[in-house]
This record gives sequence, structure tokens and C-alpha cells, in this order.
Amino acid sequence: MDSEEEAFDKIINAILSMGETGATIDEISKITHLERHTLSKYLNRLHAEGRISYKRIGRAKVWFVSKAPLQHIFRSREEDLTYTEKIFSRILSDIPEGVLVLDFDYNIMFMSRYLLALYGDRVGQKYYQAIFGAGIGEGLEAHQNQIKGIIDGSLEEAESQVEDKEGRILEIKARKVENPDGSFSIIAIIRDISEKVGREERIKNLSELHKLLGEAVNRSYTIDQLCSTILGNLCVVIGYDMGDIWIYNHESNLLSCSAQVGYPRMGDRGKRDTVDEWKRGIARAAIISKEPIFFVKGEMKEGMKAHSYYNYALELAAEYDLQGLYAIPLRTKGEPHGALLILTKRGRTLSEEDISLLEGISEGIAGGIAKIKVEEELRVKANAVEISINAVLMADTEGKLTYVNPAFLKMWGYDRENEVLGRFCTEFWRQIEGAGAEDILIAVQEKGDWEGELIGVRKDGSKFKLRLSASLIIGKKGPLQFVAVAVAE
Amino acid sequence: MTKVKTKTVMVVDDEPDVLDTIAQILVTNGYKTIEAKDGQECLDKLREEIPDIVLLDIMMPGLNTKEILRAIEKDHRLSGVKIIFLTAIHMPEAEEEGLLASKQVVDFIEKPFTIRRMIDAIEKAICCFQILSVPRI
Repeated sequence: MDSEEEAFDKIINAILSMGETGATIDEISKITHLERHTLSKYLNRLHAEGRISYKRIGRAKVWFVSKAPLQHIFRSREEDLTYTEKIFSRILSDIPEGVLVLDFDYNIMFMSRYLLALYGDRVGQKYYQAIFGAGIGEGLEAHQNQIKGIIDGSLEEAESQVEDKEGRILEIKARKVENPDGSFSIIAIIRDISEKVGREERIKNLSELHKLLGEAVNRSYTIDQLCSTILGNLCVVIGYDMGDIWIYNHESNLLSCSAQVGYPRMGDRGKRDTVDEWKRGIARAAIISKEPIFFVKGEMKEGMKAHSYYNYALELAAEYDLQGLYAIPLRTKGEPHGALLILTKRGRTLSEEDISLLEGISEGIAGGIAKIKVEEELRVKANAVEISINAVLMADTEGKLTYVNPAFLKMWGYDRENEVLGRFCTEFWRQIEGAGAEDILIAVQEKGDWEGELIGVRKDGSKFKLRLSASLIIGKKGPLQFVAVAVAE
Repeated sequence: MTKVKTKTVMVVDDEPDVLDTIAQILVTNGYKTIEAKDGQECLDKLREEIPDIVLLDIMMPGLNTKEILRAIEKDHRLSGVKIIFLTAIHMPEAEEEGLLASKQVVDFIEKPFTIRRMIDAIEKAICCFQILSVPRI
């Protein structure tokens, strides 16, 4: 090796002695007394190491010594470096980005340690082969065009995102630089932004899911409708084979399936019920534990066998030839609303990103379910008021009617709501004794409620006795409405 | 003739309209009232006078509800005071926050509520403890 290094030194000195014009192989051979065949081998080695470069003049190669500092810094011993070179060396070593130097033949002249760690030592090799392999990664064609543009002078610098041969997403900023010897190189700063791109993709998917969820909640009238839409949206964004949403009922402490997708038809009713029991068991286990349950066939986590859901998961895996089963509890703050079950068939599991997405959207789904539940409940209660045989009325704090049920209209002899809404409730009754009907309103405002007998005044002017019970409703910001029930006596 | 002692209710709410309306209604219904617009004022006034019942809003600015409950529990003079939450948040959320753990919390009224509901709750609390029911799972 020492004799080789001596030979290298001779060659370099020979080229330097020719000055600015450089030296041909014949001229170097004459000075160094090296045989042409051996010299050619050494010249290629030195060129691969970046210590010399060449220009073509006609058919001949004219050799020059490269004064590129980067290779020199990393190949010299510490004690041979100048102070500035030592500083530069440390910076390049520690920089969390890749620095790569190419010549205009796409040969890699220099790689920083960051890139050496990613790709191994590829100095002297062709850039595209070394970094991109067979060359089918996303963004590669555009990147190649940009580098070509730098070489032919149409571009000074270029920036691109391109996938390397390992599937990493690289951000590459490249520009042309003039070497001290007058030749040109391309310096590229390379960063692995796979994680950043993955994060952005996750955020984009999560935002998309939230947007779809919001639309689904606004458009759904029932929980079943909402759950069906949610499962459909999840299938589009994540992709899975089978899925359910199970809803928890607080009063009965029961779980029922609100929607399911992807399951094959099962004719046997008994078998269907059994499968539902397995799924119900897993959903309940996830709700009680308040944590997601992940079951992947063949992967046994510590303590899994002790859990009640384990046998159910095995049964389901056998029944549907599953690889993965994921149960995500659906909770709003403090309250369980159900569970989402996602099943994947053999050979397929959800990625970490997909699981993270499901966990991220679960509270939103629970919130949507809670909202629809409340709306359904209110509609049921509103129906109860509507069909009541007792007259029910509501008025704002000024006493103007805001709601009456059909029994009120019947009792007072009106046909339609719009005949009475907006009118002062005091128009519809008189006190049996004493002053005006306004007293009741004042009494409710001061005392909070009032109960007593009144004389009702119908549309046609006829009168009737009634018993009224009225109360003030307090909301978040103060008095909201009056509500009253009237019973004819 | 035995004179029935007038019960005192402390109302704590950061909404002025809520505070004024409830206080005024309670007075009309024969209660004595103490008003506080936030947790700190509540604790300051509890040092001066001990009510029978505290109607307490959750999610007020300043001292959080847990701190108020802790301060009341720590003060032996206030061991007989009963607390009724009057709040817009749902009971399961309050339970998850640990706000219903104290034995002095006897009822939980969600806004909006009728005055009848509030008066009934106060009367029950004065007679006996109310047992809160919470979701089973």
C-alpha cells in the first residue's frame, strides 16, 4: 500500500508540475516513469477518490489535481489539517444533513458521514445508481431533469422531494459550484424527511377524517345512519376488511351493534348470534379497560391470555380467517358511548399510522354519537309533549309564547300555532280574583314558579276554568324561558 | 312557639344573571342567601359565615372546582355544609374529574333546569343526603 501511495504522490506531483494546463497520460508517464497500463489504473483510482479530475480536449483526457477541500479533509489525518479544516471537518461530521458532491458525469466525489451511514461508501460510483437504485421512486424523473438543468446551465439551483431506493423521502437542494481548478461540481444538501412527510400525511388524513365526521354528524338523523357513514369513510381513508360500531346503552348496560360493513352473509341465525356475542365481549372489554385492544394472530403480548377478550378474538380469527383485530373504545370525556371494531384478513394488519389515526378520531366519533343520542332523546321527549293531553306552553322572559302543543290549541280553540305564537300569554287567561294576569308572570320571575286556578279565554271569547303550573327555566347565562302546564277543570 | 331557623344558601356562579336570579328567587322562597361570583370569593365568604347549602357552578374562572372542594373538606367548621352542583357539564364528566367523590356533594343539577328542580333539591338536602346515581360501566 505504501508503494501505491508513493505512486499516487508521484502522479499528483507530476500533474502539478505541468501547471495550469494540466497533463496528459503520456506526459505523466514520462515524468513518473510508470508504465501506461499501471498509470491508467492509478489515475482511475485517484479520480474515484476525487483527488484528480480531467477535461476532455479532443479525444485526449487532460488531468488536473482537484483542489476540492472536502475529500482532503476527511481523508487526511487530524494532525495534518489546518485549524480551519479541523473546524470544517467537525461541522460536516455533526451536521444532521447529508452533503454530497457530484461531478458533471454524475460521479459521486464526496459524501458526508450522514450519507455514508445511510448508503455506505459510494464515492466514485454513479449518483443515481448509488442513491436511487433501479430508479422508479416517486419524484425521480423530475429530480433527474433538474440535475440535468444544472449541468447544462439552464438552472443555477434546484430543490426536489424524491424517494430513494430504500423508500425514504429525501429533500434535495442542489446547486452548481465552480471548483478552484475551474471545473464545476454539483453540491447537494440531502435531508431524510420521511418522518415529516409521514406526519403531514397523518395530519392530512386525520383532518380529512374529522371533516368527513363533521359532515356525517350534520347529515345524520339517527345513530345507525351516522355509524354506517363513519364506517364507510374509515374504509376509504384507511382500508380494512370488516368493521362494526357497537353502541353502549347506560340505562340497560347493554351493547348493541349499530352498523357493520364487509361481513359475509351468514344464514345460520344461531351462528350469527354467537359471533355477535364474541364481538360484544371484545367491545365491552375495550370499553371497560378504556384502552384500545389490538390482537394480531401469531403475536402474543404478555398477559393477553388472561384477558376475557382473548378467546373471543381467537374464535373470530378462526371464523373469518383474520390477521388483525382492533377494538377502539369510543368515549367522550367521562362517558363511554361504545366501541369501534376493525378486522383485517390474513396477510394484512393495520400500520402504526392507521392505528394512530383511529385513536385520534375515536373521541370525535364518540362526540358525534353523543350528539345524535341527545337529539334522538330530545325528539322522543318532544313527541311526549306533543301527544300529551295536558296543554303545554313555553314563553320567553317577556311573556310571549314560543311554543304550544296541540292540546293547548284544542283547549283554547285555535287551529294553528301561528295564531298564538308571539302573543303575550296573558291574553289567554284571567285571574279568578284580584288584579291582572300579569301578576302570574311577575310571581314566576320572583319566586321561580307559580300554581293556581285561572279563567282561560278561548279564541271565540268563551271562558273556562283551568289549573296552571308554571316554572322558570335557568340556563347557562341566566333566565331562559317559562314553561307551564294547563289542565282544564 | 318554636321558631324555625331560616336556612342559608350560598350561590356561587360567575354569570351575573344566573347569580342574581337564583339569589332573588331563593329569598322570595324564604331562604337567606350569600352570593359569590367565583371560587375565591366563595372561600373568602365561607370564612365569615357558614351556609347550610352551597349551590356551586363548575368551570368558573380562578380557583378550579377541585380546589374549592378540597378547601371546604379541610375546614372542619364546614363539615355540615352540603354542596349541590349547578352546571352545564354532564354528570359523567364531573364524575371522571373526581368532583362527585366528596360526601358533602349531595346533588348534581344540569343547566338548563327548572326552579322547581332546584328548590326540591335544596329541600331534600336540608332533610337528608341525596344519593347520586352514576353510569354503571
